[in-house]
Amino acid sequence: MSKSISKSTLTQLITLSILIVLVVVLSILAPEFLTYNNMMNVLRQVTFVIITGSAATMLMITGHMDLSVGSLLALSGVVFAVCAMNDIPLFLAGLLGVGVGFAFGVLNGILVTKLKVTHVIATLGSMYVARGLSYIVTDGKSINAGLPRGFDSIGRKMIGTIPIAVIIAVLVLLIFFFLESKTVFGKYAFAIGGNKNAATLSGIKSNRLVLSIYTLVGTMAGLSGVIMASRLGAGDPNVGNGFEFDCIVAIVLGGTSVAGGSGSVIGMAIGALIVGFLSNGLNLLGVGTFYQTVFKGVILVGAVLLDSLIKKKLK
Amino acid sequence: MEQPILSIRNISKEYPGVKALDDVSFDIPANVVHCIVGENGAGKSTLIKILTGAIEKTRGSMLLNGQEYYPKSIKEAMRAGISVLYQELNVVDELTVEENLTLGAEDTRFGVIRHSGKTQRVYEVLHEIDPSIQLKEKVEKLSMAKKQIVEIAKAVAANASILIMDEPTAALSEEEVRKLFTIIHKLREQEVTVIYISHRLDEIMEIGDYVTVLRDGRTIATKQASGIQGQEELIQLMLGKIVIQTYVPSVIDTDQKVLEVEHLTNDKLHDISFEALKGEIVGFYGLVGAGKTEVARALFGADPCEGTIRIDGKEVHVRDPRDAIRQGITMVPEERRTQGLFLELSIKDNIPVMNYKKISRWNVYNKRKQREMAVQYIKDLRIATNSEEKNVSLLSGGNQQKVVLAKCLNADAKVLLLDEPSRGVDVGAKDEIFHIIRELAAKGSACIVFSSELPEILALCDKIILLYEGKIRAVIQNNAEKQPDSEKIMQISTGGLDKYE
Amino acid sequence: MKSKSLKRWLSVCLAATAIMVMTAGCQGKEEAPADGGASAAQSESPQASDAADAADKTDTASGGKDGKAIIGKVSYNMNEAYHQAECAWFEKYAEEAGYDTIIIDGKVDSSIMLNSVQDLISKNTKAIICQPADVANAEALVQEAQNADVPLATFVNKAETTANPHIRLYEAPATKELGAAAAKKWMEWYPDKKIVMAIIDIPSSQQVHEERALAFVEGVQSVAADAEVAVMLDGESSRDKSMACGEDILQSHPEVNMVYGINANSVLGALAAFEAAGRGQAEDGIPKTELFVGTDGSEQEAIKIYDPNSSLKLTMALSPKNNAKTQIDTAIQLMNGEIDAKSDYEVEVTDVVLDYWNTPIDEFQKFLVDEYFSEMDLKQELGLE
Repeated sequence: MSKSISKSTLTQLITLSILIVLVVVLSILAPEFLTYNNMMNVLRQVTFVIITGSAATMLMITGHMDLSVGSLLALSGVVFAVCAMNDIPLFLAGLLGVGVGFAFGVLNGILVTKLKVTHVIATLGSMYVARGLSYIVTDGKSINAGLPRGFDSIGRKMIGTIPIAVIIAVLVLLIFFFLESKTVFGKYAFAIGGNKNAATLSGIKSNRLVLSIYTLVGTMAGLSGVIMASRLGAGDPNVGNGFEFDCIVAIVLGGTSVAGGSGSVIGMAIGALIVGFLSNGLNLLGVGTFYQTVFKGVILVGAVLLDSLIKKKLK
Repeated sequence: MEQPILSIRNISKEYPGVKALDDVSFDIPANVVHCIVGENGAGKSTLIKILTGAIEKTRGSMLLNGQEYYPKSIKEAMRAGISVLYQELNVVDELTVEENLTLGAEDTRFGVIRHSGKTQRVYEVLHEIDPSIQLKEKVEKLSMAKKQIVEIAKAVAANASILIMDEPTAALSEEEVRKLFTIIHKLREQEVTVIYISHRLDEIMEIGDYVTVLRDGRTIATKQASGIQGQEELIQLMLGKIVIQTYVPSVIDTDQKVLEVEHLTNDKLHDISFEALKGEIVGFYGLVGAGKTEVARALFGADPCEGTIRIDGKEVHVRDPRDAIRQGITMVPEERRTQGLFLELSIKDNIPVMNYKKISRWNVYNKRKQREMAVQYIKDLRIATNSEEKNVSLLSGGNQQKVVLAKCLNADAKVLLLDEPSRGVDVGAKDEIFHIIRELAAKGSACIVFSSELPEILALCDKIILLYEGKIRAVIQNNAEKQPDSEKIMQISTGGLDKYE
Repeated sequence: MKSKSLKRWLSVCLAATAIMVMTAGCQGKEEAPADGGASAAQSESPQASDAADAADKTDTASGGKDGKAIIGKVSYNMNEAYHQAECAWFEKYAEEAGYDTIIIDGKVDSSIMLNSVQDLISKNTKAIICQPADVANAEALVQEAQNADVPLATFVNKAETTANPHIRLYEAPATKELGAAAAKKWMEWYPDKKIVMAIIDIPSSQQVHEERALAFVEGVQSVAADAEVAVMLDGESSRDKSMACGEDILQSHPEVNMVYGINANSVLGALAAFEAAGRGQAEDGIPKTELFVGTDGSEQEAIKIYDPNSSLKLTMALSPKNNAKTQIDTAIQLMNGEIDAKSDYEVEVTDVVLDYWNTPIDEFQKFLVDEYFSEMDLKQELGLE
């Protein structure tokens, strides 16, 4: 008996094979590609998308989006830097940075679930507010003067030969993978995204759940922002422009439906790696930036198209 | 007899496992009001959809003015002169009457709308039907009846020779109904044939020239209205000789009231009070719009309401479905695809949604237990599937309904509300679902069935509550020896009779 | 049926696009070294032959095609004409000296810049030139490169705490000169009218704000002490935003009689707003209501400057050619060890002032062709031929 594999597993297999093909092709074209250092580089570069995207995948599974993550990344980073500069202990400063993300997550959640503002509009609003605040906090300039030693540890230091940031990203990924696939919380997220009506009639408090996922997304964006600031060695209010779309691209490449109801955190990580390897590989090959942008778009639409074509064939 | 405007010849429509229409044939003469009646599920709406090109027939043919007629789309049907007045009106609230009338048929030059003889005709038609409607008025300010008139005018102006009205009086007041009838008479004079579909038999007797009765997807009779001996004859034709499965009385513990409901009231319901004893199956019967679903939703906390609900003698407050489930009330909703199931998820992921407690600890669930649970329910309820991993979207209607039942059973409810539990389910599955409900009742749950299919109610329920316009009209005890009078029940439900006995 | 064939057609198209982009992207790079090697051999410049030696000396295990060493560059923002020209010259000079290049667009984003530097390190580039997003970003980039022992020189923005070789874009003197020249001209024409300035700025860029906006004001005030700034707005380096700024100025400060834009988009946007309101005009080169002063020395500015009826009369130009040359020279010296990669070595480049009165039109034309690969005929555009 052929056991039918589920749709999302199939999508993951497809994205995984795209990733493998990409890695093989790039390592043939660019000999420097498949080196330990370069691999670590790519991993370090995609940590932010993976950390924020893990939570954002859960959110998209419920059929919601958060466009404010890029601005939150910047705001948390500058808050972290400003606190550290003012001699607040580093750990506490980092916590405050993450806390800003948390607060905005709660705000987004309340706007969407309690005040019934359309999710795109609500988070678009927070996107502007958070970006503006990060300019206000820093006066529009990056902060790096007077930062204490150790400010850059979380973003640059290694444990053995593995960067701390990468370890954090893997941990976050595992936690959200666990949430998604092993807990009732995760199942409810799928239920809400799949059929909100039925979810309510099944006694699921969808508002409460969506609110808590928004909070998680905000918190993870905050964590990403703190790591980013540490990596850059500065609180930069300009950072993270377009980050929300990087996350969405990774999530969608990973087979999560924009309408909700299906998706996977692991798929998102594969998607993030595809985007990361692609831009790294094209840089190594010396492909011009304008072509790279076109490439990104083609890969995104191509992968989604390929996915739907294969599924249709199998049906 | 002159040539009929529309001949329907041996039309059949089959869905996998279900015959929605079976060899339907009748003629519609020109310039008459032709009524189509039948119970829910008799095939009326399927027939309309075929007439208007919304779906395709499986077999048979249609002749429009003697010509073969195969509409591929609603647009094509409209071009051929067949328009529909749907229950949900197709007017755009934000636009004016004028804009609505010409919507999609604007007379434009270089993209700019202009007034001309063509559009003028639409306005004249409207003026003729109802001079009180102002062209510049926003449609959202009009009453339901006037919106309807706007749509009728639009259809007439588009040269409709046949106008299908699907339950046009459902949302109208008595006075407005009078007015609609005058308009229908006027339309007939203007050589428009009206196909009139309604549950309200008194209206049909009044307005119809011809009546076609459908039952179980078949044409039972087409008669001149003048030749029908009152509503009773129609009801008899509609119900036929009801094949009712034998009613088996439940074992009822008369001392123990599981559910007591007092003065349940909201904007759709008036003072609903009843009780369910331990092991009893209570049935709510009424036509579409009588308030069955509203009672179920109110009890389940899905709609706001006032009143007292007691379970096992203890008063409970139900603010939302989550509360209801906690207090021991669950519901099998009316629309399983949109309200009951997560179509993208597998059977094993659907079943535990209402209650994860059995298979989880600290919110982390046990995959093995989940699978075992699903396998158990698949076996117990005889859900036909090769795997518990199968997406429920791939199951047949009956098996989907069993998954919904499993979901509710897993919540260990004391009170189970079943809204149209066997709708769109084939005969075999229907029997099995009845069996499951009886077993549940026998185990001591109170089962409340809400149905617009009388045979279902008569076969299953110990107590039958008749609803009409949001009120309880009668409560009847079922009896295994002497079946309740179904014609009387029908008359009460159509508003013809106030009391049983 | 229909939708199926449509989908197939679509996927074919997409695949074709992907292949085209891939080949096009690679071709652009392959052409460069093909004749680059030849010209390097023939090159007469002593520096170039030095460089060729240096290229030989560097290990051949890695590097570009034909075993040439690679110089990496992270551009500030490749959407702008100046940076495009600078990159083109950068490639050209490297080629002449016998090197390959990889140029990555930093998109004015500090994290993209850091990623790009990492990618260049992975690629075993022998030297990196970059214009960091800001001073703070410079710190991170320099540290990243120094940790990997790859020499890196910054342009415009320098790391403040870590010593690093730097190419300083020292604009302030040129901008002051520009401001002074503008003020002098105004006082010649209208000695009784106090100068009231409006500045279209980018306050988020420290370099621009200090070395252009503030330096310009300083230059004006060095000549006309009573000159005042009515308003300073953020044009976000975009034409339409700057036009909106111009409209706002007309509303709030119609008395403004000198407008300075910190780049071409800023000044041309504001000018467009004034022109729409019937201002921005001159008679025989003498502005009627206000004087516009720009920065960049772009084609479109040139057209306005040499139009006697337009009130845009001065601009200040960066030299992409000279800046790129300095960058390549610095890179070569870093590779040769002539400059210590961890020293505070600094070299300066600056801007030139171009105006209606002192710069002959042919000179501006030559500047555009030489520096920006311009194909425009300025005289023809102005209807002078």
